[in-house]
Amino acid sequence: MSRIHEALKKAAQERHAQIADRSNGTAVDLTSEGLTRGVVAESLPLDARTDATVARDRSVLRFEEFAKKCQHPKWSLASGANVFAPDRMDHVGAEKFRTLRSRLYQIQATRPLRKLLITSSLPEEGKTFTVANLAQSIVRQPERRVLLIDADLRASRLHRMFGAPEKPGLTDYLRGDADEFQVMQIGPQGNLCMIPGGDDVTNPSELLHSERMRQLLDRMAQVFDWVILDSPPALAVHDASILADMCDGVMFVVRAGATDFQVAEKASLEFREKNLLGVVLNRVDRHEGYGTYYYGSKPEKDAASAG
Amino acid sequence: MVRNGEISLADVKRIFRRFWWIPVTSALVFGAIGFGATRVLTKKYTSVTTVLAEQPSVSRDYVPPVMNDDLNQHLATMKSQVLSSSRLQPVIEKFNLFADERSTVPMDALEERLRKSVEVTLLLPMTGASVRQPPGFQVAVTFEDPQIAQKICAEITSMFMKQNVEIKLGVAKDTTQFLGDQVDQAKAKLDEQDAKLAQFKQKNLGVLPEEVERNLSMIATLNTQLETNNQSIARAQQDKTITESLLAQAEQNWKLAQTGQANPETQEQQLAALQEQYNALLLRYTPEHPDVVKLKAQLEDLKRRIADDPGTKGAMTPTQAKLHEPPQLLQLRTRIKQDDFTTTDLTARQSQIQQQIGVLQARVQMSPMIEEQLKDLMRNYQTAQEFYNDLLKRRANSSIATELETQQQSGNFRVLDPPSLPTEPSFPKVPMFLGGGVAGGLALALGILYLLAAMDHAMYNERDVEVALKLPVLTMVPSLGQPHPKSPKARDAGKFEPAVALKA
Repeated sequence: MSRIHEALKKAAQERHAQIADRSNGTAVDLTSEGLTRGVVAESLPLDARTDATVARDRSVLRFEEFAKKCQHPKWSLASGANVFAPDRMDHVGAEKFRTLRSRLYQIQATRPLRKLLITSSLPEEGKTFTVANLAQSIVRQPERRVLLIDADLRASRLHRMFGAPEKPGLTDYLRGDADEFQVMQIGPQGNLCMIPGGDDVTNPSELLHSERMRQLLDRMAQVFDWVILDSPPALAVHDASILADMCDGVMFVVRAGATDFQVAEKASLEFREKNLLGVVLNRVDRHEGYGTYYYGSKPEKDAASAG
Repeated sequence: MVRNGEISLADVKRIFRRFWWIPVTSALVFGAIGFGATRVLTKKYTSVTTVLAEQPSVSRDYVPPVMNDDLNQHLATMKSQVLSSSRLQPVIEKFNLFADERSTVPMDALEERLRKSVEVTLLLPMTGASVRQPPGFQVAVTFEDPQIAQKICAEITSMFMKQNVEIKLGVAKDTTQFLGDQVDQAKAKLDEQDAKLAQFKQKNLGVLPEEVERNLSMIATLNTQLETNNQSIARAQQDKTITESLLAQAEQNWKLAQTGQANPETQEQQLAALQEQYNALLLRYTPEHPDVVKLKAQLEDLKRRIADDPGTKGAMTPTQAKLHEPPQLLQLRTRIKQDDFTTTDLTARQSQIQQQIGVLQARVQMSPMIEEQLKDLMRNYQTAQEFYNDLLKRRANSSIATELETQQQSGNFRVLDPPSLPTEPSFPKVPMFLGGGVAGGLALALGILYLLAAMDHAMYNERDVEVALKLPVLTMVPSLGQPHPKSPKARDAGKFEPAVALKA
């Protein structure tokens, strides 16, 4: 325990030093229009925030400017697959995504982790569901900002989870038909953004493998606490492997009772050397002992109301 | 997830949770098939009769049975005889069995079918009974017609009863006959041994073990006789010596008297010597002893001669003297000859006694060897005699047992329950078919479930993922109760809201 504590403390100190440097006037050229912003102070650990109060305030102000330039379509969150939906608050499901969130923060405390790719071996295993609900669990914390990118250019469906428009999207940006603000939608909560898939294209792999994609991820990683990519299945196409090279970590979704372990093993082999963080076991039967005990039954308070 | 053919309890629970309908459906379907089979299959009826194997009316202590008491073995023998083709064919013809098939199916096959329809089972003895012998047996006949089944059962049971009597009588008679032959042979052997023993005793008469004591006694007696004989010889020789000395003295005195030179001094000396000798004998023997008596007579004679000494008689010529030897000298000479004869006779007797002793000692020495041979002969004789006596006893018992079996015409079997007339079919039995169908269905379902489990390579829980992929599980998201994404319902649900494109 003491080693882990020391490692966390050291990582926090290093991050504090970086943030301090950036707050002294270092600006990031976020777009071609010269929008700059400071460091995202919300990602700081609590002990570091005290020292970076000024930087955080500045960052909040600049993100608000950034958000104003994004698209503001009306989202209609689908409650069927949203464990945090008010009308069907799934306490166990929500608790599991909070657990996942905590694990990711634990990993983030030991290594750089902002760009997260979520993939699986085959379609229909729950990648989009995981992406959407993980983002929901994160943005429910105060001052956390998440960007979702639907990188499954062959069968994009992340927008459906939010009841959001599909176009313009990532394909439009990668082809140069639109800039970041034109493809980026911001949700009603104000801290969750999404880039949908966009128009259908015939060359998704080439687009994803472009330098423009890498630059987008790098820039967004400086604005958002988490940039989460919803990718195509790994065995079907090579897109996930391309995207994994651009991300800090890969999370593998396995559908319980459906995914063949040999198939999953074969698919996961490709990511073992590319920061494969672990597995999200989706749709686990309640009899399999995932832990149905839930303390309390009150729905989670809204982030805004929680202050 | 089943790995290496090992199914954990969790796998079993999961399989049953997912596919619980398979065993239920399978049990119901196969149970229904079993029940339906009871309605379709031809009904058969079983007639049963119980036969009691009674104990003999006469105690075994008085009349031992000639047959083995093992009812199981006895019943097996009877069954093979009763259910033989030669016995079953008359039954088929008598009851007109398999009338429709007799023209097309060989008789052997029909007999075999009838044989299979007859079942003979032993009754189990009561728990705790001291005798482990089965108390009886049951004859069961299964046939499509209950009345025919009853008739066949009665016929077969009757055949068992008759066969039992025949077997027992036959065994008893054969046993008696056999024992009679054995008795004759044993008697011949006994006679032979008897002759050998008699011949041996005759040949070794006097050497037999029972004569050893007598031989030893005779040897002792002969030794005593030999000693006495030796003493007699010594005494005769001593008498001869004395007589010869007396004769010499008497001849000298007589010669002196012939020459007129009687020598009174010599006679006096002779008298003194005789007196001294007489005294010496008195020390050893009583006055009645013959030697003492004889020496005393000589002493008296010498004294009388001294007293009658003719000192004045004239001399005689030697021839005259010879011719006129005094009777005393002649008597002495006669006595010497008698002593010689006695000695010779006693010596001959001594040799005879020694020879007899040698013969007796030889017999005594031979006695152990003869005793050994006699023991062998006696042993063989006794064995033959015991065997003969035993056979005689057995033959007597067998004769009595044969007589007893002849008197008991029904043997020891008694029909306890007459053949029943079945009212309910014995085949097919609904519970058995229903249960068998359900059990078979469950077994088949278990096999199907095992195959499903073995072919299931999906991962269900954290353990499966960690074992199969060797990756940590960050979280396990429960099923939200959504329909399968590929189902039409899910596709409809997936269209959460109509997606509209933003106007750029």
